[in-house]
Parts: sequence; structure tokens; C-alpha cells
Amino acid sequence: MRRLAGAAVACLLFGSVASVARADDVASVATNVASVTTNVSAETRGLTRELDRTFEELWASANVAPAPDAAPGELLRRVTLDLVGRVPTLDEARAFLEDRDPARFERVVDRLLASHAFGENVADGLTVVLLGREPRLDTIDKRRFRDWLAARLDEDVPLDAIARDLLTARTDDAVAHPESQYLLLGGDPTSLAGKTARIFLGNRIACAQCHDHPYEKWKRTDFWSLAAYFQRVRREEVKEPVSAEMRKKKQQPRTINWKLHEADQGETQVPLQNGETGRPALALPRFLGGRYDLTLHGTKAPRLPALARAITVENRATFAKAMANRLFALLFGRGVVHPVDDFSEAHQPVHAGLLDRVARGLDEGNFRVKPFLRAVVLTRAYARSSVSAETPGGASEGESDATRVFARMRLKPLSPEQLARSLATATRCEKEQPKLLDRFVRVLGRNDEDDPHQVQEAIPDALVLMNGPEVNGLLAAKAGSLVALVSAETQIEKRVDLLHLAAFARTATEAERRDAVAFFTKAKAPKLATGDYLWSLLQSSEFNYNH
Amino acid sequence: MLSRRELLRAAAVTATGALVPSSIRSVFAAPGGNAASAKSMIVLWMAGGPSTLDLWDPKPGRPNGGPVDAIETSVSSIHLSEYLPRTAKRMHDFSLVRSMSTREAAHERGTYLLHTGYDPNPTVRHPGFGAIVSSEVGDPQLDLPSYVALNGTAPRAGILGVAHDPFVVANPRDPLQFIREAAGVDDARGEERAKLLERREEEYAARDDEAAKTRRAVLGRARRLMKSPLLAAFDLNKEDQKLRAEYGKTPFGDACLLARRLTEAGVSYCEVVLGGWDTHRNNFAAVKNLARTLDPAMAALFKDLSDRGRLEKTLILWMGEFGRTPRVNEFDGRDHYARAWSVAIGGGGIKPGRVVGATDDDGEEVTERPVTAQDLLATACTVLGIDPRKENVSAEGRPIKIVSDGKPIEELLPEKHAGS
Repeated sequence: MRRLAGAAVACLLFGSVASVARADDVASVATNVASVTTNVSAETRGLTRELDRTFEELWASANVAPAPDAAPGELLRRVTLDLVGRVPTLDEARAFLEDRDPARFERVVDRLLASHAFGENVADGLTVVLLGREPRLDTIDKRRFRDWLAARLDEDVPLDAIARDLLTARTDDAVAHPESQYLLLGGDPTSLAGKTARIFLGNRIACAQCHDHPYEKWKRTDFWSLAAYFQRVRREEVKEPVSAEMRKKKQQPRTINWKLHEADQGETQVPLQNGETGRPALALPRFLGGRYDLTLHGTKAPRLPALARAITVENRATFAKAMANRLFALLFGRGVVHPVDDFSEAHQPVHAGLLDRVARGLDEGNFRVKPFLRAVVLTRAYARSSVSAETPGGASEGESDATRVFARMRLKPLSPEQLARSLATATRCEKEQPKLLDRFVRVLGRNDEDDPHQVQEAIPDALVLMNGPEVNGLLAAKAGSLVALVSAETQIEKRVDLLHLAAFARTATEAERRDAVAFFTKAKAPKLATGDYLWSLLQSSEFNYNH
Repeated sequence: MLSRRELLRAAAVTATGALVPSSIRSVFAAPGGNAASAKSMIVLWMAGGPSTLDLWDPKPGRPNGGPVDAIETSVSSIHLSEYLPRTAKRMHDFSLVRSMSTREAAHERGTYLLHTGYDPNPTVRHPGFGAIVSSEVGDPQLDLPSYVALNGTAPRAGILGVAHDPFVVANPRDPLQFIREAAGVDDARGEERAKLLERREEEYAARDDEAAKTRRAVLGRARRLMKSPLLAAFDLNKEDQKLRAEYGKTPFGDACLLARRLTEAGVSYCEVVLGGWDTHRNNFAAVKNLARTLDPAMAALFKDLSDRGRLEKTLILWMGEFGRTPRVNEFDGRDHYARAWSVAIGGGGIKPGRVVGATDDDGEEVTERPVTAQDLLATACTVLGIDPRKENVSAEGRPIKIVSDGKPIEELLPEKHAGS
């Protein structure tokens, strides 16, 4: 904080703030440090204001009143989960709730965006989207890809540059160059084409692989012309050298690496449909409704760089919409267009103006993720409660309307990674995080390439959470753990507050205090009671959702 | 508000595409009416692509036959490989299809095809057959899951939703791994914990959000499973240990026995996995070894079901993702081969002691009556009382038939289904 203050004051004197800092203003200005340290903040402020105006238009036109403000602890928990993939620590929660500074939320946002956990969290989600969860090739470790991507996001490398890196990767050493995994694991040209269109452009043209799309404008030839860009991707296994020992034992050499290149020749044909006769036509590169690129026909010219340019430069606006929509969905639980990868006639944006504004915001920020997310999390809309404005227990008219137009925050399920990190954080057993990650990613990590916000829980997941040894291990009073800390507290009301702060970033309600007192006084096994009480908090919907 | 899953269960789409309520769905149900002979299904899944020539379709004396001799079975016209002596004695319980001819000779693709009847397709996730059975035949009120995978995993439910994903029992000797309370938590404490949670969730229910409601439903079902008397079905120690020894007391044998117990308790579909069949090298030694595990378990399963009078109600299907090359390679192995291979099918009313189709003397081509994966699944649908042409709808609104083209193997169907 002090470090930033110094820099801030320097910026104030020499930077873009026009007014002279008067002595009695310095104190208040210094506390607004994070919000004026860089030009980024000024630019995001503009976007935040415009987004809020657009949201208000949307709410007015839908005749929906926005939900009340989220409670401070709820908002802290929400932004911490969204940006760094875990619940706030007990100390973070206490500090935030005790902080009287009106800019406390902005400071939290900047702290989170500057943390390495930010890159990891966003990269976790994007890795599942780009590579899926199933293991595919020997020696290819998706965690390396995640780490590569996380580092890029931490450095705020623009998304279009990242996309170009993925699409034009070529290497003799895939292990050292994990960005090659997108093409390596993406399957054949038809698979890569469908995936690339869906993820980078929100276009489900893959449906047109076998037949003209039933209700969109895409034809089979459009699909196969896109697949042609990937036609020359070549993967080559690198095997370990065969030793005399292996020869004697008739052992097969293992794969130790992969090479990824684009050949300078090779074509495919558009398969004939039922009833079609004659010779199949060659599938030649042509980008989605554009003109045929003659420089790529019958030549040795590489195709993937042309594709990367087509996506990120020539169709920049579509790319911006698709990427902005995904980032928006990260924060609001659902895109302005839903499903997040299907911009079609059937799936109109909730509000065209909102889609345009977020797309333009990302584009004008040169596709950098941090400023974009910063702008969105500082909107009034992001700070709406997830509870209905109506009296509890009553489903109000237009209840689902409010969530649909982002006037009320949607409940978002936690990803397996977020759940594992949150369990470790809340119970102050950070050392258990790898074990938890391993278990939950294996059990809950089913959603291969799907929208992470469509995570659905099933019985096996619930059982692992309730009865598994990893979770129950968090409830023992080990040194440094939450249970140990809480057990040392003699007053039951204080214990209960600590537990609620750790799990939910809020203190307990009166009713919760009463129930807890009843429970703790009656507890047959007092040493285990804290663990049991904490168990119920960790199993609750309030813990398992981001709200 | 109905969940997507509820909508799928409630509606059925006829050939004309109109939505029809389930109450009159049975009018359009399986040919021959909805009198299903089988109430449950057990699939013995041989992962890796089993060498069926060396098990079900031996060619003694031919170069492609290798060292494998043929032995008599309890059905005079049928001979099996010498590696399956006990199963041979139960030939009168089941039948063979020796003319499987499919087109996928890669593991993932073949597995997908045999479980769904479809080629893998990036635009739609077809439900594994276990999920279909869970969805069509499974009782949603049953405490136990309707689709159980034993000794390995099984394909997921795709468009049918996670409620029909397989419940995996990785170790049949410790099946209650997460169903029991955690170590050190006795019933009394378990109850206290559950009460605390219930009270907390009641308060939270006021948020009135679909997602929170779903979670409560899942938690409720999980808890019911934990407390269910039907859990006794998972306890192999409750079984006659002599019978358990007949199954072979291997993980696979135990899993087969568990499958019998679970289907008895109401589980609709169990898939028991036995891996190691990808015998590119030393095929005969490997198959002989695997058969030592397979043979007693499979024989015991048929005998056990028959003795209990449950064979009629339980459809058994033995299969892998493809067969193996008739010509033996330089490593004394066999490679992937989908053009001609065999499966075994019995129970559930399937006519036993029959052979459907044949291969040539060298096992290289199907000479009569080729059968596809779709035909196999259509056959299973018919005896289970499932309409193979019924359509499920994907989230994008795309209708997907359970089986799009295949026809049931008429020769094997029980009388009441045949000729429709």
C-alpha cells in the first residue's frame, strides 16, 4: 500500500491528473492510489460508465428493477472467486469488512489482478475450453499449457496475440513449447476447424460438416473450405533412442516428444453427399463467407498464418464479440449471447447494444484481458445481489427476467479447480490444495470443452465432497488450520463468526449464532464439534456456489 | 420450471417429429408391444479389442487359428476355443454372433461406436447405452444409481445429462468407498452433521434459484443412497463364499458377482470392465491368461442367474470395441480388426444355443449375415422394451434417435417379438 502511495503521488504530480493536489487533499487522494496509478484506470473508468449506462437502458427496456447491492462480503467473495479462483482468506475478509475507505473494492480488484493466481485461474478455464479434459497424447502435459497461458495472462498479453500463437505454432520440441498443444491435440482438420470457429468466433459451423446447416446460412462447402486451412498440419512422434537393452528385451521405444509443423502440400476433397455423383471437389481455403485466397491454392504457402490473420485482423469485430462474450460470461455466469459459443440466428444477444459495447471495449483496449475485466467488475451491474428483491421464499414475477438481463447476479457453480482451492483456503490448509485439486478435477472434471458455467453436479460428486478423505482431512485440528484457530476461541459466538468469515466472507446471522450455540453446548464430542460444524458449512449451497 | 432432463423424460418424439406425452408413448414403443422380457442388462466389456477368433470362433488346423484348439460345448453344433472350458458348458444359456462387421478399428472410436451405435461426432455427444437404459428403464425413485460401471469407467450420458452418467465402482472389494461416512465419523455424528446441513439449506432455499434447488436434490439423493438398505447389494461378504469362489475371486469375477447382486436390487445397467485385450504381441499367451479370469466368471454368472431364475430378466452382452487380425503378426500378436469378429449375447429372453452369422475358414471375412453395432443395440433395445427409434433432443434442439438404422437380430428374439 505504501509502495503504491509513493508512486501514486509521483503520478499525481507528473501524470495525467490535471488539478493540483492540495495539502488536505493528498491524504484522501493517496488512499485512492490504485485508481489513479495508471492510464489504464482512466480508460477503464470510461468503459465502466458506458457499460452502466447500457445496463440501465437494458433494464428499463425490460421493465426490470435492478436487485439491491450485494452485501460487502458477498461482493468480495464473488470478485475473489471470479478473478483468482478461490474464496477470500479469513484475513482478507476481515480486512475488507473493517475497511471504511470508499475505494476499498477497487483496491481489492487491483490486488487480485496483480496476483499470479489471476493468470492461473483464467488459464484453468481457458485450458479446458481449448484442450478439453481428456488425456490425448503421450507426454503431453496440459498443465504446461495452462502455465504458459497463465504467464501470458499475468503479463496482460493481448488475446489476439495469444490466438495467433496457438494457431501458428510450429516446433520440433512440443514439450518445451506448450502453445503447440492446441494444434497437437485438436484432432483432424474437421475437428480443428469446428473447434476453432466455435471458440474464437462463436460459430458452430461444425454442424455443416455433413449437410448444409438446417437453419443457419452455412453450407457444407463453407465448412470444408475452413477445414482446408488445417489440412497440412503434421504431427510427428519423437521416440526415445532404442538401446541395446531394449532391443534384447524386444521392448518398444516410448514416445518422448512431438514435432508440429505445416507441410507445404496436401489437399483434401469435399466428400460427396448421398446421391451426389462424379468426382468430389477439392476443399480449398476460403474463410467463412469470404473470397477464396488464391495465394493458398496449389501452392506451398503456409495456410495457418493466413487463418490467424483472417480471424484476428480481418474479422476482428467478430473475434472481439466472441472473446468479450466469454469474458463477460466469466463474470456474469452467462454471456450476452448464450450459449457462449453459438452466435446464431437462434441465439440473439440479450441486448445488442450491450454486446456491441463489451466487444468494442475489449477491442479498443487492444484485447487485453485485465483492463477489460477491471472495467466490468467495477460496474454497478456486477455489484447486484444474487438474492431476489422480493421477500424470501416468494418467487416474484419476472424473477428469472431479472437474472436474464443481468439485473440480478446469477449463481455460478464452482469449477473443480475453484472448489479445490476454496476448500484449502477456507480451512487454512493450503498444503492440501494439490491433493484436493487432484481428487476434484478427476471426479468433477467431466466437462470437456463445454461451457464451464454449465457444470452440473451429480451424486458421485456430492459423495466425494461429503465423505471423501481429502475433505474430512481439512476438519482435523492440525496446527495452523481454521479448526485449530477456532477451537482455541472460547466464546461460541466468536467461533461462529470466524467460521462464517472463513467460509462465506461474512459474520453469522443472529439465527445462525443461536443455532450454533445450541449445537456446541449439546455436542457429544466437543473436540470434534468444530470440525462437524465446519463440515456443514463446506457442504452448503452457499459455499459451493459463487453468488 | 422443468429441467431439460425432465422435459426429455416427459416427451417422446414420433417419426413425424411431434411431441407426444409419455403416457401414450407405449403405443409407439418397441415392435411387438411393450412387454419387455429383460428388466436389466449386464455388459461384459473387454477393453482393448479382444481376439474373438481365439475365444468364440476358433479355426483349429488353419494358419490363422494359431495353436488354439476347439472344444465341444453343451450345444452339440457349437464349438468354442479351448481357453473357455467352463463357459463352453453353459453354451445352452447364450448365443454367439460371429459376423460382427464394424468400421472403427481405433480404440476410442470403436468404443464410442459399440456403446452408442454412432461414429464420434464433435457436434453431439451421443449417450452411452448404459445411460439410455438408465433413462428409459431406470427407476428414478430407486435409491441406487441405475447405471453402474465396475472395475473401470463406462461412457457418459452426453445429451441425457449428468444424472445418467455412470456411477463408477473402481474397486469391487471396496464399493462403498464414498458411500460410507468418512473414517472416524460414526452414525450419530453423521446424523448431527446432516441435521446442521439440512437446517442451513432450508434457509438458503429462500433464494429460489434453480441451481441451488438442483444441489439440494442431489444432496438428498446422495444421502438416501448412504442410508439405503439396498446398499447390502454391494456387500460381497453377504454372498455365499463358495459361490464367490466359482466366479474366480478375481477383481473381475467379484465385479461380475456384484453386477448380479446389483441388478437383483433394481439397478438397470451394469458394465463390468476387463482390460488388457490389446494383444499386438504374444497374443496367445495373453489371451489364454485373460481367459483364465474371464472363463470362470462368465460361466458362473450365467449359471448363477439361471439357478436363481433371473436369466430371463437379465440381458447379458459380451463385447469389445473390435476384434483382431486373423493373420498373426511377427510378434506372435494380432492387430486391430473390425471387419469380422464375434460377440456373445444371452439372457433377457434371447434364444440361447444359436450361432448368428459365420466367417470364412480363415476368419478373414464374414460369409453370411453381417451384423452392425446398431443391429446389436437395436436387439438390446427390443428385449428391454425400449423403442430404438425414439428421439432424444440435444440442447441445440437436434433430435437424436437411440438407434438410427440398425435392425434387431430377429433370429435371437423371443417369440413374442419376432415377426413384427
